[in-house]
Amino acid sequence: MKAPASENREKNANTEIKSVIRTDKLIRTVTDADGQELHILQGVNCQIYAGESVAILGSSGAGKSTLLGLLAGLDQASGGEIWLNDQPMSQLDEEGRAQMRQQVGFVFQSFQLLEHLTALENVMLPLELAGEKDYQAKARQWLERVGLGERTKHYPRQLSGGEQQRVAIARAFAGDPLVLFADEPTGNLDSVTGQSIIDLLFTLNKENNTTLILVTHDANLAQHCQRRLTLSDGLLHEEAAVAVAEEA
Amino acid sequence: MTQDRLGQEKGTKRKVAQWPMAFKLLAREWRSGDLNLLFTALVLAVMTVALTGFIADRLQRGMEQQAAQLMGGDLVLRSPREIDDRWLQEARDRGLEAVPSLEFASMVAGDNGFQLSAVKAVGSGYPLKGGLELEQSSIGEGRLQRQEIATQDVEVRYVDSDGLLPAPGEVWVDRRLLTALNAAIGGEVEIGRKLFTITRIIHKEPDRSGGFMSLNPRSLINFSDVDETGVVQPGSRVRFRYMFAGDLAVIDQFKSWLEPQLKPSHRLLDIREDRPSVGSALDRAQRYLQLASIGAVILSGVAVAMAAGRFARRRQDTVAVMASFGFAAPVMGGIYLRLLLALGVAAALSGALLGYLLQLAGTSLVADMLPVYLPSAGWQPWGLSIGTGILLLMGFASAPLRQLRNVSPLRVFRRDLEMTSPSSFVVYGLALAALVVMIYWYSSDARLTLWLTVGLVAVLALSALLTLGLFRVLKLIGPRLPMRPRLAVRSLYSHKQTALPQVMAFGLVLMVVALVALIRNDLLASWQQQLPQSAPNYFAINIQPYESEAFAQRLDQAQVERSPLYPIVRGRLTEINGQPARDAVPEKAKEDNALHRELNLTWRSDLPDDNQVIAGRWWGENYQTGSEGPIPLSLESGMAERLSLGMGDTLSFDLAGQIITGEVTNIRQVNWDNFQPNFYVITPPGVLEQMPQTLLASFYLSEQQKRIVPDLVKSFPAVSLLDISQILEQVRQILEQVTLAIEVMLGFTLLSGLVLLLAAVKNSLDERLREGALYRTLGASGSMIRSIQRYEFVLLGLVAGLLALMASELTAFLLYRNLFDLDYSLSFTHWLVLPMSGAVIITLAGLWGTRFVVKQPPLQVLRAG
Repeated sequence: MKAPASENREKNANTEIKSVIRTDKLIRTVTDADGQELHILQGVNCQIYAGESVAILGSSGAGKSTLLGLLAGLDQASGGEIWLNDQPMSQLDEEGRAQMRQQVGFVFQSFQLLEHLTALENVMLPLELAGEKDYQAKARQWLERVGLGERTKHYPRQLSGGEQQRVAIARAFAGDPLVLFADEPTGNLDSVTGQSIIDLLFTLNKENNTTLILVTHDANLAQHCQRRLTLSDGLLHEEAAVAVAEEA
Repeated sequence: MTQDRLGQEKGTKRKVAQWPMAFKLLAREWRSGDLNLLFTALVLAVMTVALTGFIADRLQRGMEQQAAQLMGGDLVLRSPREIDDRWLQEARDRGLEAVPSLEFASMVAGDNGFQLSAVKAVGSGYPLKGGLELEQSSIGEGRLQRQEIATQDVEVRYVDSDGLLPAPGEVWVDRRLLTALNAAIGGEVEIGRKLFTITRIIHKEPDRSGGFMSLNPRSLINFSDVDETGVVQPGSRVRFRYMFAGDLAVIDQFKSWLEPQLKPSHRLLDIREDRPSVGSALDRAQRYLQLASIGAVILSGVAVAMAAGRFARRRQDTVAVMASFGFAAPVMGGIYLRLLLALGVAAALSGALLGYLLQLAGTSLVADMLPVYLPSAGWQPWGLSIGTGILLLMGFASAPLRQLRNVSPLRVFRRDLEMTSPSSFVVYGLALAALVVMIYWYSSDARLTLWLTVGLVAVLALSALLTLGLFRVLKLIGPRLPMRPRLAVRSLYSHKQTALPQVMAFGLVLMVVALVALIRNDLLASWQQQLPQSAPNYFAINIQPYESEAFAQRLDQAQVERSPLYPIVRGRLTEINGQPARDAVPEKAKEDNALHRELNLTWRSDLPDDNQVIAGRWWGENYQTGSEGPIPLSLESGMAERLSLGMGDTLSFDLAGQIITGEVTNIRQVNWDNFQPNFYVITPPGVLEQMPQTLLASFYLSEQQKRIVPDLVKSFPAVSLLDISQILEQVRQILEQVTLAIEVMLGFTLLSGLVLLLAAVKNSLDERLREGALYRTLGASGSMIRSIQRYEFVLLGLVAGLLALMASELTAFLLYRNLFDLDYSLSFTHWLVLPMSGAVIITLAGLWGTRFVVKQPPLQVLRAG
């Protein structure tokens, strides 16, 4: 199933390579309990192109999730600039960033489903927020696509970890995002379930021609991505591009 | 043998010293900030109780002090004879002040005439309460004469007597007597066999009572002169008043010591009994203050319960982790309960201290506006507020924390394993028990406790049912609504476990505040009605029939607002159902005043205003006394009750030698507080007209109109004018003070309502923060989230308003009828205002309390979750 928007994007991707996200000297500084400044990101430059899949690697505490949050407009940078689809983010207030976020989707390590809503209602929510008319039918289709067509009325606590992550993936793709951000999407799952989630994520990513940016420790997961960027000492280093698109 | 890190032997059961551990944890928990809400709710609860307690205590003392001034003491013993000296000695031994006074009517003779006067002889120390005010003129007392006052050439000041009393041989008189005798300061008058010199003019005496003895102008003499006047002989009509003052607790003890020894002819008066007008106002005010502070405590209790529930939920993980380390959940639960107790004691002490300080600051700010000086508070509010804190904690907070004992260690693997919710029976049972104890503790009133408890339980049960019903309706119509209200309805319905207590809490706030405000308005209105600005301040009695028209005309010419002239026929009740009256009444009524003095009878065709027939029927306006059947009589309900008289009883009266007999055909409730002429016995027209009679009128004289008084006295010498302005003024001042107390209470109830409102909003804050962040990652803008929340709070507020409306009408109905003796009527503005204001207030509080939901960066919130 493809939404018209993703078809257009596919056409664009075929004609020219366009950067979806670009950063220039991105800085993020926080103050610790003793009043000391911690420089987490010290001038990150990167460009991510439409339809790409990119893994951000790094040791614990290197600032991977911080970078992801900034790229997704969930947090505000201390300096530098981010462009999402050529729009600069530093000038935007929270409202503006929220509007920008309508073009992106998320998958979290801890699933982040709304406990009081059923699987179907969780997937419906972003569609309703975006003002879609046939939100219910569309959400149901997406749940079927992730293999949970029979479990639409289940609450998150009635689902296993893998199933919860499937609901989260359905929710992320249902909004037809330009970019999909995933923060350690398999971090809370066993290896077999994790593998099935990786497969699902990359299959859907390919089918929808979404740009995928994921943060991970997992070398296996990173191997699925076209590009791997490593964050260390507050800066981003690119490993040699590997052609993995065929594998995915 | 190896030892583990707690120093215990391996293989043995680990024992934790729970108290030291609780204190250690308390320090850590304190730093974490998670106890803030619980602590704040407790401190506020105790502070509210302390504040209201201190203010109520001081105002009540102030009001009692003022009421005591009206009587001249905290306790007064009235007796027709001199009492046993040992009683006075006993009072003094107990540390009380005791002062005798004696009142009798006697002719006072001066050089230019004589006048019947109400003589009062007082002992040193008089007055024990209140002040005696004297006139002082700018031209020297010796020349202060009636004409000079009339032409207003002199400036007259009023000064406190400052403990001064007439010396032996001196008499102080009121201006009416001076006028009537045409005498002046320095002149001599004779009372009985003794000659007195007039030395002062009395302007105001604190304990001027309204009995007929005091209708005549006052002369005040020294108690030691009584014997020399020779006026008081065995059998003469005199009234001794013994006034006692001192610590109110000692007064109560003395009262209980004295009561068993009193004879039927003695009458003991205390501040609540002596004056019906003040007594019932004080009584109702006290009930109101109690009710308002109970309201504040209920609100605070629910706030504490909500805060404790939130704390317990947030501590499940800690307990689960500790349980997985081998410290069983019941042990950890025990530690948390101890922690709670320690926190409660700290909160109670700080709350009480804060309440005390705030009260000091508050009252000193408004001290100048208060009608009288506020005495300092006693110890009771300290005990009451600190005790309330501990009780609140145990009743409202212990149940959720006890549940920590049931946390499964498995939760470390599966966070979705929630602790079992405390059984509703335990939660509500404990809270209800605490409430009942507190309500009874505050009020010592089993009836109030019963009504409030029944009302509360009924209201809670009905509210829960109604709310769930309304939620179901919302769920059904939800899918048809546009996006934002649809999401709000879904959120409300799917969160019904948190939304239900929230709605109930909001409803409770609205209900208590509405109720407290409603009763306040109705109480104040009933007082205003009781004592309008133009309430009669003069009574004229002994108006002779031949001069009644002229008297009425004179008042009308001066445009004086007056009552009709009521004819009075004086008669003694001689027989009841054919038996001598004394034999026909129960033992305890044999000494009743009504059997020993002449009663005032009158006739009327219509029922007097403010009278209500509670048994039988009033005769119609066209009633004609015919030859057939007995004469119908209308009896006052209090007298009927005291003498055990009922419908159909026949009563005979001796009216100056003529006997009439009638049958009780209706019983009337009379409002004695209204300062209007009231009658014990009324007959239809056509019965008493031919009997010897005088007339009675009451009227209102403004300050300016008071100039006609000397003229009235001169033109109608037989008429006695009774000035009750002073009494009215004192009653008004008391009501003013009561009103202030009521306003203050309303304010504090509002404050505790606000605290609960915020606690209830806070209770769902964690969830809302996380959801808000998630909504935003899913593309919702801050304004969209706010708008969904707005719908949600408006709905919550409307539902809460509906609940409050139902509950407050029901409770008001019960309270009005059973406690305040006020008329209950449905208020339609209420029906509109309550749900509306509920929606507005709760939306504002809700949006304010959740403002961070859209302010915190989503990443931060999601990471914390």
